[in-house]
Amino acid sequence: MKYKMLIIMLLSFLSSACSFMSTERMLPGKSTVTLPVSVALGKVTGSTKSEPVRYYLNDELYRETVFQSVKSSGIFKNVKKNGNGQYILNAKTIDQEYFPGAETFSFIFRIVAKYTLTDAKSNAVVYEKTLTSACKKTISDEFGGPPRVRKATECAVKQNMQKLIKTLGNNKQLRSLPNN
Amino acid sequence: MHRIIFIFISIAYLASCGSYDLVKPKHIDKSFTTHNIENIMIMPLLDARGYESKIDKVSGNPVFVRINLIGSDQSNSEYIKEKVPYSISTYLISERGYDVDYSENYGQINLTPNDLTKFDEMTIKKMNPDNSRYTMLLVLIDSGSGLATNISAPLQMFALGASSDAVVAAYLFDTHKGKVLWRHTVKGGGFLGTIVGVTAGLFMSDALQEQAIRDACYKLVRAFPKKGSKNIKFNDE
Repeated sequence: MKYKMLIIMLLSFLSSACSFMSTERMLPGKSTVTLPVSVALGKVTGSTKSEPVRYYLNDELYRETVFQSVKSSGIFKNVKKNGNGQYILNAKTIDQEYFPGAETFSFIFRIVAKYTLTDAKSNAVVYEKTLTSACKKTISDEFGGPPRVRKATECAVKQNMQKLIKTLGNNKQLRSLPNN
Repeated sequence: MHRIIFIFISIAYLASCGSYDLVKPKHIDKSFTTHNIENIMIMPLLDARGYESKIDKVSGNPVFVRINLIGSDQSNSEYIKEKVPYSISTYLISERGYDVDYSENYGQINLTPNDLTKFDEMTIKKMNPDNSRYTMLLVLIDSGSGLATNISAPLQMFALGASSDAVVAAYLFDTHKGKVLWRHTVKGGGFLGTIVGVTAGLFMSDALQEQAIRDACYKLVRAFPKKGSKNIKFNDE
């Protein structure tokens, strides 16, 4: 009974520490424009890093996140995970890194990713952008260390996906395509 | 037990409330307002290592010369060229609330370290890749690894450790008005102490250099006002 509070705290910490990254928490939301093209996902390269209590997006998770983000946002008329499309979307993370924040115990996660959209027939690049996003989480956001790291990662990836959708939507060349 | 837990949580929360003081930059224009800046276009890193005499006039910083035991001044150029812009943008986004973009050129001019002494209105107006209004130029003045260079000379022979440092200057331009809005120069350092540090430093010069770059970028952004801040007050470094 004496240690009830300590046990509860320890259990809540462990349960939150054991949580995994979720693609749903990294989705960018709906796009305001829909581009009249069908897109297939091409080569998607995540990180090869793997460290304890640090969350990096590997190839598989990054591919799933990009696919779900593009699909759920409704930016393109049709999105395929594999196969053929009018355009091929390639994604490559150039850098995924953790930084210490200004506040004690705070974490910053940074993701730098390069996205390329090419015409499947002509191989012409219609969109190419390197997008950086970084998100900081302090002890006020999450008390436990591992979930704080996870939340910083998910937040940064979500921002990166939001930037991708926004910049794709603003692309003049894609917007000028005729609606089939 | 409850009291110990309460004290621990209180200390943890208090420690997390550390402020990110605004340090006075080397130059800030009177017309600098953070409200107008939607997006900062970061131009490619200008590698000015080896141009000490000309850089010195611009930055006002003392030039230091040392013997490189581990790294070499011109090594890891490609690695550094990527790391500096990415590191500064991390802090600009997360600590200062700006959005950044990258360009692969300097706009309508081909900038070299020789041009650093003459940032006139016309030159700045041409530094507008993709017609961006606010552009940032990053200049790597010096970088390298050595044996305990953070320690003063008489103590170096008694101290064991590997160190790395990077001197980085940053300029924020308003390309519409042709003005240098903000400029700052800092020296960042990374250090691995003891005999382990020396041994590890031989194999980890990249990691040490990244630590120095990260430190330099952190210090640069400490002198950059937060987006939307009013009545900007600077603290002494």
